[in-house]
Amino acid sequence: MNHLEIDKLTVVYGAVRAIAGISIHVGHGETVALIGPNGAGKTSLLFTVAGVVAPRSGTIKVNGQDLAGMSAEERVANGISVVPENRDVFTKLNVHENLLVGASLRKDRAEILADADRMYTLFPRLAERRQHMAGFLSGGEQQMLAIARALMAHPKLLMLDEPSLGLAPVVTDKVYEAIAELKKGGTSILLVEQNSERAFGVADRAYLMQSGRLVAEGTPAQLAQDGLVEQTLFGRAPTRAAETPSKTEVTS
Amino acid sequence: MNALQMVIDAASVGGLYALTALGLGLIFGVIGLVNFAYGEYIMVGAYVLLLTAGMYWPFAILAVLIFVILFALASDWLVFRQVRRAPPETLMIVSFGLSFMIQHFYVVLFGSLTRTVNFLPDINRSIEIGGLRVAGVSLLQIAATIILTAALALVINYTKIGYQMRAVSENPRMARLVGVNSNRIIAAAFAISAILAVTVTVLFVAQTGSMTPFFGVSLTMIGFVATVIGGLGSLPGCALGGFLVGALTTLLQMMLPSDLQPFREAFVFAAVIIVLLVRPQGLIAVRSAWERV
Repeated sequence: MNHLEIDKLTVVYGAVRAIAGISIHVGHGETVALIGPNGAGKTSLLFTVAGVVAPRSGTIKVNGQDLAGMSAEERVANGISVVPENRDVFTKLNVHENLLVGASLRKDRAEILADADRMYTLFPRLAERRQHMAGFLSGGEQQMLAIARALMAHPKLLMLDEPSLGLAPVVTDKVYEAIAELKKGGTSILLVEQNSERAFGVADRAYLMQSGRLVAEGTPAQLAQDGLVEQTLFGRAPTRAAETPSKTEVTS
Repeated sequence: MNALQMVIDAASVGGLYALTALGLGLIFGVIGLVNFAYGEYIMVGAYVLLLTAGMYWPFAILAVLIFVILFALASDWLVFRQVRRAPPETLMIVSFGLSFMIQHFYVVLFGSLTRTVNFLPDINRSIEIGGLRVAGVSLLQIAATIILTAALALVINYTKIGYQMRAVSENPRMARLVGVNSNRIIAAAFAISAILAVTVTVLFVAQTGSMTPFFGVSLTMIGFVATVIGGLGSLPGCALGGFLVGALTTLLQMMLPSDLQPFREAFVFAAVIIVLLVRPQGLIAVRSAWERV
């Protein structure tokens, strides 16, 4: 049984079809990348799984259980956490409070504090800024805080939305080190990215998505070979894309 | 009457306004609702005191507390939760509607004439402190305001429910995404605002001994004005605004010639307009946890 099983999912905003009948799955302990340009529907997909956007049709199952009718909070309780694209840390709470809010569903106070300490070991920058308002953190620090906050809920399935967006390459390195660490720990990961190079470095499998539809699926090696990634992201022929290093295109 | 006497009077009147403003400000901070039905929480509590007249007073207060908390929770559950995602104007109009509905329901139940109750008459007796004659209820008002404001600040800054409230206040969707049960947090905010309302009820009824189904409206208006003066959405601002309006009212009471006395409120509201013209963001533009974008 797959950890996450999305079947023929369609999401509609008003007259706009954000997702048109997509089926994807994430196995237990697997890291799956979802690559696509802006407006491909990646974020809608994550928010639908997280339970803050309602699908028009289709099913989402976690460990075989249908999530339909389950509130966002209940989904967190069932081990599904999301780190949104704009990070959305609580800017007027300090770093420590942000971590504690992440553990809202848990009652084991001593364990929660121990987990917070673990986060400070994982992200030493956060330990230094423990009492700072999260709004005053740099983009990279906020990204780390958003990931740490999600981990406080002990997710079994972690969904990350463009964790490298707007970050300097060195900082992106740090973030991806943390993701690799989580993967090693056995967490299933659904990683949404435009930065395919980064995502492929950690992913076991990947989907390419464009205008609400799947374009291709395969291992990073297969997809990179086909040249489909460049075509999907930049809408141009693979030969031309090869002339420009895609890294500068995406991270800028 | 000397200056100190006046300060005490201003502080006791201001205390009631500050408590009302805090109750309004708390709900506004958490869900962006300007709750015009808040005065009705105060009003329905007064009628519980009327019905429990003769009962040993701690039980009467307990009865008010239980009734008003349930009343506030029911108003959230039955009315405000149904329009949770609506724009702020809609929320405000809904609260207006609820306010009118409750008032007129109470007219049906109790009539629109003033009812009186002799509740805790003893605390209106004056106490002499260093040559000053102060009504006991004034001291209670000041003490209650200080204690409840401090308690509220502690709850919001240092407890789990406090940081969850701040999280819901800042970003309700993200709060749900990290597992905060926002409906429960909002219910807690309503319950806390009900406790503030009960304090106002008890002190108000002990002082005046009278009530009509409409007396909550003027308190809501003044409390609302206080929150606007203080900077809507800032809790310290709400408390300060309440005290300022109280001080202004007391001052006008003393300074205005007697034929202008009946128009005291007009002067208060004129002062509010001037404050808003000069400082549209309110007196305190704090970077508080409650500041809303």
